[in-house]
Amino acid sequence: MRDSIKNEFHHVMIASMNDMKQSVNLLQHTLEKMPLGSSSKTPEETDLTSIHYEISRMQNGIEQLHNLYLLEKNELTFRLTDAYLLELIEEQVISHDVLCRRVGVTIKVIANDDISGYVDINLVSHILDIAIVNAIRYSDGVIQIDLQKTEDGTKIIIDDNGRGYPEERLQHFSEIIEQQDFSGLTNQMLGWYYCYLVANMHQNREQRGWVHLNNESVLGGSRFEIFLP
Amino acid sequence: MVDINTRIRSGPIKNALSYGSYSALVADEFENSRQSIRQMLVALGFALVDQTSTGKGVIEACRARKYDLVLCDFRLGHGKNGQQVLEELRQLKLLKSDAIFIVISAETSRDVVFGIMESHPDEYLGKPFTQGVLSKRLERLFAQNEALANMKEAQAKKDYPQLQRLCEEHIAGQGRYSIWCKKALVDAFLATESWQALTQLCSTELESRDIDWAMLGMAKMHIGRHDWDTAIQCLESTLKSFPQSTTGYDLLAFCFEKKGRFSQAQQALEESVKLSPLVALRQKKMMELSCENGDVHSAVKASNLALKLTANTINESPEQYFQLADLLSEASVELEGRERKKMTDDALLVLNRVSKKYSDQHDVRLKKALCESRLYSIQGHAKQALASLDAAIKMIEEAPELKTPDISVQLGKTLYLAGKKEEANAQWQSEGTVQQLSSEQEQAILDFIDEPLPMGARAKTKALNFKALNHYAKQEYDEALAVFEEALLISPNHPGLNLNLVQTVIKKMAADQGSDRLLERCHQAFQRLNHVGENHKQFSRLQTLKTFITKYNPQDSA
Repeated sequence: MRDSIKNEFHHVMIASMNDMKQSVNLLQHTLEKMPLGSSSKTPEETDLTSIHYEISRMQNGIEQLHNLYLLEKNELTFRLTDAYLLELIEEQVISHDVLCRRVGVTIKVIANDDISGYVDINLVSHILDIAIVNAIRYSDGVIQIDLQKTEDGTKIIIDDNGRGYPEERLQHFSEIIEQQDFSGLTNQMLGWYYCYLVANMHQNREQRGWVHLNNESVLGGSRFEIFLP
Repeated sequence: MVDINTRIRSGPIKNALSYGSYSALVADEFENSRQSIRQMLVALGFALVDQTSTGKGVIEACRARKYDLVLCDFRLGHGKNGQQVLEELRQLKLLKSDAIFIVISAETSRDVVFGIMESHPDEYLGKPFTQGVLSKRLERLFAQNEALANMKEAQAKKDYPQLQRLCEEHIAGQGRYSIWCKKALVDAFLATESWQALTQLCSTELESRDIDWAMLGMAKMHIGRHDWDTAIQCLESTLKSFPQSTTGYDLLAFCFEKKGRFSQAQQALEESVKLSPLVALRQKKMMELSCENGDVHSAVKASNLALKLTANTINESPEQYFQLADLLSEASVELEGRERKKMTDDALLVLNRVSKKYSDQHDVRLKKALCESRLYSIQGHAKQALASLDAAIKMIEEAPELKTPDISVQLGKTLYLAGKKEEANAQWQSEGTVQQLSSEQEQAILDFIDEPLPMGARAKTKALNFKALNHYAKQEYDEALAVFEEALLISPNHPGLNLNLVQTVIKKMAADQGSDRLLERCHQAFQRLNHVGENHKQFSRLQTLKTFITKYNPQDSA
């Protein structure tokens, strides 16, 4: 009896997730089509900006929850394929174009060369999405994404020109990674931890991927670094 | 340093004019989704954008027009899904060779994602996407199509020297699609059995990291050389690095099957079914392997799923329904009470479905009657079995053209199960039938007469035979004889079992002493094999053993 309830809940989860995604997608699509407004915003336009931002966050939150759920059940799709990482970054930047214009943020992408990586495209795109939405929220108008080839893999560095991460958050994140201590976990922290897990799933022989947070942004704000072997 | 920001903001390189001669089809169950994608394509400059909400609609539209681009959602209401639509379009050759087919989907569940990937669309686009993203993807896909056009043409024509030349040129020039070219080369080398070139290409790729296609390429080479053991080793290490490689598990199952290790083959296939169950061919293979292993319940499950996955597609056939009904009826024998009745009812339901679905086909009605009769026979309902059988015979009398070789095989089996063994034999041996039977059909009849039992019972005798052979190998002849006898109680006419018994007796007599009692057991075994004629694969073994036993006959020696 208990088993059958558990099993049904699995379907409830999946159906609800898909339904929520559909609704949020529709909202996002509607927002994309609405006029951006002038640079001096009316109160309504300011509200619209925060609605747009929250919708993007919610989209990521649902996807993240869904993937963590699947990961726990050992049902998460993980397929490595060859992909040009700049293409993934480009797509993420394009998909946040309207939000950026609304908020008044410019994203600069720099890349020395177009690096091909062996990655799970969907998952890597998703953590880029999370990192970019987060940077949009905290930046003061400029974000820079730098794609670098390293000796043993690829680094994607997302810098903003905001106030940087508060020291205690950085501390908390490293505790979560090192000690797997989840007490007082906030949604933002969960998002970063999820990014870390995804990067960590990428592995080449002994080398594993990681995610670092620090305040070493070249723009003076916070930095989000992803390494993929 | 390249600042690509201008490129990102500049929109499509292919400007509105260059899509001006292109046509597209959008398929989505939901009106608002359909409309918004359509608007995006119109804004990008597509000359014509048609839309439909069903899989059937896509097939019809593609029959009427050769589109440059098809954007098709995975979920399409009741009929076919996007994956089935793509497979069918390819099978019917309704797509232009350079058309781009994109599956779009909001679903991220693994079975759906794997199912879509395994049907190899040109692209898989997760919902939601903005016009900017769509534009970027299309730009890339059309650019790739253009760059690879000559190679794809050579590939389609199987012109491997040309394909190899073009691919190697592209790789040497560090072209953007080098990985695509390397994968194409792996396939070309496999097709031309160029093992050395293949090994060189794959091992170079594998120097710095594990890559699934290079590892699988090596495994396929060992398979091509029929070196099953090395292939198995190779696949096992691939799966260690890539535990979600369905191709890895499928190939592993194939190798185990070739080695005759059927239960390991089934286990391997179970893994890929777990990862990607929505592939009809995989479920069909699963059903065959389960049958081979006598695992009737897995066979029923796989057969059910295979039927569901081909429902409403061009690959759906009445045979699948009959197969499922036969399996359900065989599986029910192992159950009791309510469960048994439920499974029998399910079988009858399947038969009703097939006759309703193909109500205009006489042969389906006939096969249904025969299948129904077998079902009743197996359940021990003699009266109903005969009624269905009579109905079938009447149909054949009314329309003799229905009696194809396939029907003759089935009719014989049905007669046999209804207790009319002589009529069954007469039916199989009648002049008209014998000449028309294919060698497979002939073999199917021989196998059936050897062991006219449900699958579960056949599996039991197979296991007992295996156990007895183990005793035999250890020279434990008394134990071996006891187990062979036990198996023969279930399957008395099985040639393999009977002859194994005789062979064991011979060994025992050589070790100990001949006895009348032992010889009697051999003669009884020979009597049970009256049906083994010259065309039976055990015939010469039977003859040899008969001669051997005669030598031991005490009367002869006297």
